[in-house]
Amino acid sequence: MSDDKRERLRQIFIDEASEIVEKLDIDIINFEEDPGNRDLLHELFRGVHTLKGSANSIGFLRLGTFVHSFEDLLDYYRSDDAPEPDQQTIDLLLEAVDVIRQVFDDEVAQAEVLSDQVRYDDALQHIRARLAGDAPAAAAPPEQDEPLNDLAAEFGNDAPRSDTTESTPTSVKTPDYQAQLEDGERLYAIRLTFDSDIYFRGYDHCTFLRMLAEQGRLLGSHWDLSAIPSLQELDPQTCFIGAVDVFLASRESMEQIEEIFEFLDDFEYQVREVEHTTGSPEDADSVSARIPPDMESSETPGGDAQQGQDTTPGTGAPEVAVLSRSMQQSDSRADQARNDIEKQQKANAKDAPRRKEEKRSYVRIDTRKLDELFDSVGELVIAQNFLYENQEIRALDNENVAKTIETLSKITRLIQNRVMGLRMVAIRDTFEKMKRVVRDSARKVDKDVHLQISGEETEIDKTMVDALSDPLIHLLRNAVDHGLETPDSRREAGKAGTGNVWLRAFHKGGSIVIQIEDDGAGINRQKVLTKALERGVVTEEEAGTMTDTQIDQLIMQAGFSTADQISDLSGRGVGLDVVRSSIEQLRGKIEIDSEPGKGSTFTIVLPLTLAIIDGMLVRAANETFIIPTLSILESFRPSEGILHTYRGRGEFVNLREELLPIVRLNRVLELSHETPSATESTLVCVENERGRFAILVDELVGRQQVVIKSLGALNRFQEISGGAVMGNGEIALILNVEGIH
Amino acid sequence: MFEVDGETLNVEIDMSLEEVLELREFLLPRLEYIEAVGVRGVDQAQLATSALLQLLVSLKRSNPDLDITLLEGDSTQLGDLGILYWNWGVSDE
Repeated sequence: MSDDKRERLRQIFIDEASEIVEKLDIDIINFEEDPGNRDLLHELFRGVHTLKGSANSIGFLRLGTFVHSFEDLLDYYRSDDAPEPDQQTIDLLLEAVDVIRQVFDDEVAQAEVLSDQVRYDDALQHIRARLAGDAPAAAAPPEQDEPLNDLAAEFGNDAPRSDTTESTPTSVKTPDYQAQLEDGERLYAIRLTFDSDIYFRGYDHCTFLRMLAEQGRLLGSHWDLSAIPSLQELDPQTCFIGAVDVFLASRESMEQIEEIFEFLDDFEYQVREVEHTTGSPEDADSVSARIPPDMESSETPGGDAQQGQDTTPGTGAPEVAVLSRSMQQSDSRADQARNDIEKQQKANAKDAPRRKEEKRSYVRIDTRKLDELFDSVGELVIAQNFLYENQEIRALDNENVAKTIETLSKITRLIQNRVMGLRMVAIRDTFEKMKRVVRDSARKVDKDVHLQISGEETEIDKTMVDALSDPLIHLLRNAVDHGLETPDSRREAGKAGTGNVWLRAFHKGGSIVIQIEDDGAGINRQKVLTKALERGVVTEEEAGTMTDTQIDQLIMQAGFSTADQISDLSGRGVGLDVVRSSIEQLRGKIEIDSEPGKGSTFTIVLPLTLAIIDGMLVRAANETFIIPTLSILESFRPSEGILHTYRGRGEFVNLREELLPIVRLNRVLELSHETPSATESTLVCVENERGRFAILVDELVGRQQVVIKSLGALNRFQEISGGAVMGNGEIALILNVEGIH
Repeated sequence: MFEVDGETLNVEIDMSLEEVLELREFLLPRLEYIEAVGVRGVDQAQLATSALLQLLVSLKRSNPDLDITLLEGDSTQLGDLGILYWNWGVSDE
């Protein structure tokens, strides 16, 4: 394999493994809530199983070793006679996932030494101890004289097959393949038990048979057709073919043969060398065998393959010892996996469309390509606007031309919306991760917390999703640590001992709204003011006139980030002020609503996308500017009576008893020194971190969605955040409300 | 890839998965009119996908009286794939 190919495979593994690891966390939390959910347990197992196989293939051996034990533990709990996992086991599973995450990072970084070897060893030891204590059968090697698996059934005459189907097929009757071997050839028995989605994955029995044929001579193959339904029930893209037993005569080594299947899941193939013993071949039509202990999973001495003789009871069938070189898993696990496949195939009428839908729903795409596509569509929109507003074309006054341009405009908007839609992802995954955050926080402070999530299907720009994770974690920890009371305190207050935290997402007025609400004690405003005064965040005079909302906002001031009781923000060392900054960097805002004794609600409002802004076009000094509508409270033309000046310089407007400073846009941006009359201008009331003020402009042009263009190195002004190309070719600068005043 | 000659459906051995899908759709409303299925090109071409085998077996299940050359008897020789033995299951034997 070339280096390039190896590197590509490595990257593919890293990408896919990251997704698997993230999902493990979520699945275990969900499993904790529903421990009887076998499907979830199987889903967990499959993810871990895939991770193990891939890790070993890529050479992440430390990860592979750990995941192997983790897989053993999950496999034990999948068995019918295993008890439901208790809280300790769930904790162990979650700890194991944390270790996997850590080891994965170490492997990706090619660290020679693990970042936390002690934690790795401890977790591994705990898993093995748990296995030894609860599941002796999974850890200890099987008895020598008991046939472990159904290889006797696979190749024998009368023993039932382990893969039970409604119409249990008779055992495979095979020719005497041994007699067909030529000098130097070995007989390999390869069992293919492909998953039902084999065609979706681009694989096929024929492909592998041909690859095997290149390694030797195909003597024969036995196809289990028992599960194939009638034509009406058949989905040709789903594989209903059961086990296919292939007999190959080859001079190649076992490793050469196994390499053919390196990209399959472990349970989808088994390769064995069939060796005839000195026993009499009494029945040329059958082959029976037993499997000695699995070499890889054995941790006790004597894990080497063993030979021996066995007589299949009651049949007089010949005895054939099999050198088992099963690469990946114990036979009991293989049987379980085969059973899973059979069950899955049985449920095809229900599952196949779902699987088909899952496989076709998602395409992995580089986000850079998506951004490039979006840029191109943005240019298309601009070009289409040029056409629309072109005076020469308008002068033609041709109805057909006008209609064509109108149609073009509609199609362009449609394309733009669809491309924008590509960037949108459901916030579900981010919300799912928060379950663990709340769980761990609650355990840490010994509180009972019930997290209720809603609106997880709400879509949000992909670039925002990652940036939201930290602020949400922080806000949720805050809610659990400081919002909710202890169970005893809650009962004393007449509340249920279990506290509630709601995590919601919804669209509202062209924005995304995310709310974190708790039914805790609410913000103690007196304490907040006291702390704020102590730290010099506000003066006595200011404190005396502050509204509840303004007091609540104080906890997001920088001075509170290291406070202990009011806003102790432990964990990541991120203060609420950084939460606010993070949200503002996403061009959003965060509001607090709190009621003492009842609880608090943190509301994050974000634009739908970072690439397009919904703005109000305004004119000042013959220039067009855009004010983000998210920042606008209201706009109006003031009357003389509400305008005030201070010492002839500062201008204010009295808006419902609130004095707002007036900021003349032409002055701030140094466009001109003129002073147009305020009563003949428009005031746009906005709000930033420091409060509310009114921007004085010549006129409002209208509301419009525009594609944001970064000014890059050209932007040295804090008052400007970017630009947009208008339909007439004019550039409109987007105002940064934070930097204007 | 496939054609109907009277009451016989002839399919090519090297049909792709997409063509197998089309064949299924073609067959669903016409099952009662087909009495035999011939597989062509066995000597000249290669079996491209096991999905075709699966479809033929499925067809046989829908109409056990149907004659399908590839599935007659317990086995068949398919060029480079050697001898394929069919295991239909107890109820089908």
